[in-house]
Amino acid sequence: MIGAATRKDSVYLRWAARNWLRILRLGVNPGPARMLKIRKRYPWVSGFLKVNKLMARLMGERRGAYRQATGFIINRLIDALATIVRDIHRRRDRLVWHEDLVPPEILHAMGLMPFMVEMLGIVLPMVDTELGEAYLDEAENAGLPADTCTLPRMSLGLALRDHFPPPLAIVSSNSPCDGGMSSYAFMQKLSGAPTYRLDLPYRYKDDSAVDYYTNELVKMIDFLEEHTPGRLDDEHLREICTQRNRAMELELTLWDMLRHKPAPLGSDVVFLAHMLFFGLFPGMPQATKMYAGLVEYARQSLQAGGGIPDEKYRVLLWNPATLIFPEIFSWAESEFRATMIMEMLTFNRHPLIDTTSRRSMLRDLARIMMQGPMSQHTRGPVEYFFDDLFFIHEHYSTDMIWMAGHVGCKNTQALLGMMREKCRQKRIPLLTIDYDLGDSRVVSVDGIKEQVRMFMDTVMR
Amino acid sequence: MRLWAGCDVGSTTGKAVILDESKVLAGAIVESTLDPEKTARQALDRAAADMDIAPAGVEFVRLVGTGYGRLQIPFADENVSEITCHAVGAHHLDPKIRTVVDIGGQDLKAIALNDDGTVMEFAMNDKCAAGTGRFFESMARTFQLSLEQFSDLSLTSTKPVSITAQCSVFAESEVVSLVAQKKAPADIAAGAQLAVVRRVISMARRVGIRPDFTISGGCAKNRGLMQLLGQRLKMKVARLDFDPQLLGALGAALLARRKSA
Amino acid sequence: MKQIIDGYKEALAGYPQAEVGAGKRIGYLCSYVPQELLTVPGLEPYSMHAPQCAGTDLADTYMGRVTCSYMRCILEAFEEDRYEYLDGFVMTTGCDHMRRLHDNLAYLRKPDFLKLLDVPHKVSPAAIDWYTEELRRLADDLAEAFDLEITDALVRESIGKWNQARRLMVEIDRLRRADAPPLSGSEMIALSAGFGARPIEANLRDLERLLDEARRTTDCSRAKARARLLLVSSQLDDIRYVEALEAGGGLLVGEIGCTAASSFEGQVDEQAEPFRALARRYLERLPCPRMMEEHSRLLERIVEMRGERRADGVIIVALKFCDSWAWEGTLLLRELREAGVPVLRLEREYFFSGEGQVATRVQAFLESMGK
Repeated sequence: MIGAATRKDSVYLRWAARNWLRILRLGVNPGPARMLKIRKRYPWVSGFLKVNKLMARLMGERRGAYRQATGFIINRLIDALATIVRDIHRRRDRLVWHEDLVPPEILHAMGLMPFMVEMLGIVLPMVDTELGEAYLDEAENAGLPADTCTLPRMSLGLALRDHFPPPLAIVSSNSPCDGGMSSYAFMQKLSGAPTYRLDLPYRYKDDSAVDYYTNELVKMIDFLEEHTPGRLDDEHLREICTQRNRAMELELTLWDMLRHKPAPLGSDVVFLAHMLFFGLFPGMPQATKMYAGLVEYARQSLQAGGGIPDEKYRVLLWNPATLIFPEIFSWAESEFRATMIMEMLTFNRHPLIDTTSRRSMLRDLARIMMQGPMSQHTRGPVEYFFDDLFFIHEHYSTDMIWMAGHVGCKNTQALLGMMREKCRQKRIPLLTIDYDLGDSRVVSVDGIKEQVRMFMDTVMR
Repeated sequence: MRLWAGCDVGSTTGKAVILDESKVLAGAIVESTLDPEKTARQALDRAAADMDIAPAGVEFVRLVGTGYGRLQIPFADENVSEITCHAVGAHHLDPKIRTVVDIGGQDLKAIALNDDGTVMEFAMNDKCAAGTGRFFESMARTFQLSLEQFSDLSLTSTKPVSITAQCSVFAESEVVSLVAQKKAPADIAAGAQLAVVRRVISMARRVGIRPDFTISGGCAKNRGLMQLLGQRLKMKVARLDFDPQLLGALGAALLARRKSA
Repeated sequence: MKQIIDGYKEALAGYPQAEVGAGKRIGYLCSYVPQELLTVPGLEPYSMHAPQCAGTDLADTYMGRVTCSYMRCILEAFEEDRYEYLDGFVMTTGCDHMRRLHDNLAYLRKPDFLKLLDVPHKVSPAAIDWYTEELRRLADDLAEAFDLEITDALVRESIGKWNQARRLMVEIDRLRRADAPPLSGSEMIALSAGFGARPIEANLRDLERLLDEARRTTDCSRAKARARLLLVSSQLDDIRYVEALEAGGGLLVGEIGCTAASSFEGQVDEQAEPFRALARRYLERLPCPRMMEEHSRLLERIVEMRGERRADGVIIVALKFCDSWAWEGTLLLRELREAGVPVLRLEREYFFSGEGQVATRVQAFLESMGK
């Protein structure tokens, strides 16, 4: 992990203090004795202590409202993770594992405690690459081939070491890919928990597919009511959906502001926000407050002339961001005055939820899940992949596309040839970064930087 | 007399090219040492010697370094990637060139050029020896021939044997077993050439093959390879009127001159 | 018997040639495609493989190098016009790799008839309904594209033939329970994998004869095999590879996989509505790891077959880069070992290489079992 890359100014110190306070509050609730037990049982909790370093790396040379927004979003991440740590023990009688493409609105509405299995696989490479890699090795030692995607691979390592809280039940799906889907037979075996899987059809935008998936959700609810104390409360679901709509409207406002040149903010602030919103607290007041906060920062930033006032390049990122190098854009901002405006996992066309009835809510939630991050592009006809790619490029006036070519993602690897040709035809400069999402030993951070530099110096010269 | 120079320090060889206002005066190739600075100096000295000027007497208006060792040439005024240098060099020699594949000692690069000679797209394989000079060296060694003899041998084949091993290390053992199966050496040699040709075309496709197409790097002097390539590509492989191994250094020298003409 | 088997090996070794008077030949990939629908009058199914694949340079440009080599070899063969005598293609959403093959094919070749069947990843009443609809849609598309009539009655007739073929194949395979199996693994796989590359009438005739001869054979040579082995594999149609597995004296006495005889288990209900009957049978039979909830069924069948065939050990072979098998294979490995079953796990690529390496591994495995 590279060292802190920002000056410790008042902005940094203020947010660092807030982060520490949030972590220390765990010493009150659930309390010191319980925290020690939790820390012992789940060694990854120590990753929290590294969060200020992550914030430093992301803040980089940012100034003004963009810098503030960076601190703010990390603080939101800490809050979300700390809440999970707090509840891991306290709400263990309601704890259910869910896969990242099965977001937790319904679980929340059933009074359950959702635990996202892939959360650690996403967060660990960002804050503690070595610990993440130890889990990868664990999975490989159990015989899992090294060419599988590091995200489910890390989950397996965690499960093999029994570093996940025990679930009452598991819900997963066939999204976003074969690897993610197939890992759950193993996860089921290791946890011994009954598992329900949602089956996403291929042409998922068709009405028949939406009907099918809505019915899958109905069956999921039945399954959960059978295997857990959870009960679906329609009023609670309505509250959640209403809040979700509110947060989403704010998110759309923020996205509109990103079209401005120069953009008010971008990159990690944008994608971490969406990740938290979609995967951890959709429909909770935290989400609405988070987006309200970001819209405010964006407004301030625009008034001051933009996030990177001498913004030279606008980048569209495709494929999940480089987890082992989350500060890639902070670095690119300093080195090339390049800001990442929008990326694949964040952008979506989710509907606002019709809260009239349980069925209408489930139906719209089904549509949201079907267009979940990665899944909306990796599943379904290939048009879904390229149409969005070029739409976003136009809509946000980006100058180039950076494809984070995660070597474990066979799905997208098999589209690179087509992608190169289509970008070439449209004369859009395309950088394909060869690397592995969660394993810095395949291509190091320096290796990634070299590839970016070579491209920027040669093609964007 | 105003002089400009370009130094291309690779892992196998160091190259230098010296220009005046209007023409190339000299070019030289030396074996690389462990010290890129030393390699660069040796290449420049050798080039200067060809010009009948004592090395000490040579001063350059500007010098550009490129290649793998470009960051360790302290006396270079600037360093530029070898991709750009190859593009500049190729465009200067023949403005109709749109695709360049450089088969280096240890890497393989493909470059697509815009009409004005700037780089549109590029692809590199610098992680393995497949399709590079290293591969030929190991093949020639297995046959116990010089590179030129190996190339000539392959030209006499009518039916190249297929070599399927992706990795050149495994290709070596595959060749050994083919010899044991009593396959004709000429056919095996042609098979090895073919393996490289396929690598080259594969790399070129990644950036889009458009005419005119040319090859740079030492391996461009391998007649057997060039012939097979032309056949497979179904496109004429343009020959640049210059030592193909010096293309990077030429591009660097041209950039030096451009910057301070 | 040898002559018949050679006929199958030959079918596997070549590409579809021009045939005068044959119906429209539809190439298909994936065992979830109901061949019955492609065997109605006017159509003939052709199970696609890519023999003699010497490299995938062009396919790699589009599909990269970390994807299934079977898919890449097929794409490469397309680019070499090897399937010019096929009139249409049907694939499934079996796996990411196959879907991307489809996408790249549509982009590069734009075949006149190219369909992707959306196969559910679960077996449930809703999934069967879904697949029934998909199959009806496929039949409509075929009828329209090739100007045919595909009635329920014709589909039933086709089902009848295929049920018969399946019975024969399963019967032949069952003979290998004996102490002296009448066929080796490579011979059986030639039949099960080569089946799809030959017209059904020829298959029915040849399997009938072969079953008869196999029952009557007095060849006891295989009773002295060094060890009896069960093979669990992903797609496998490479006879040389199987021969390499058996080269060290181990004998395959049973195989489980989509190109193995196990994929012929399970009849289609000839009384029920034909499309629904097809959907049901194809979803409910022995699963491919791409099915989400069927792992225990696969494990059970492996343990069961091991008992039936008295296999000393199990070899799991999967195509490199297959995610479904990567996970399934790892879990199977663990569970079989827990159950005290000796297991060898191998990876292969579609194009055959490294014969010595395969033989060495199997030999070491046999030695580790004390055989």
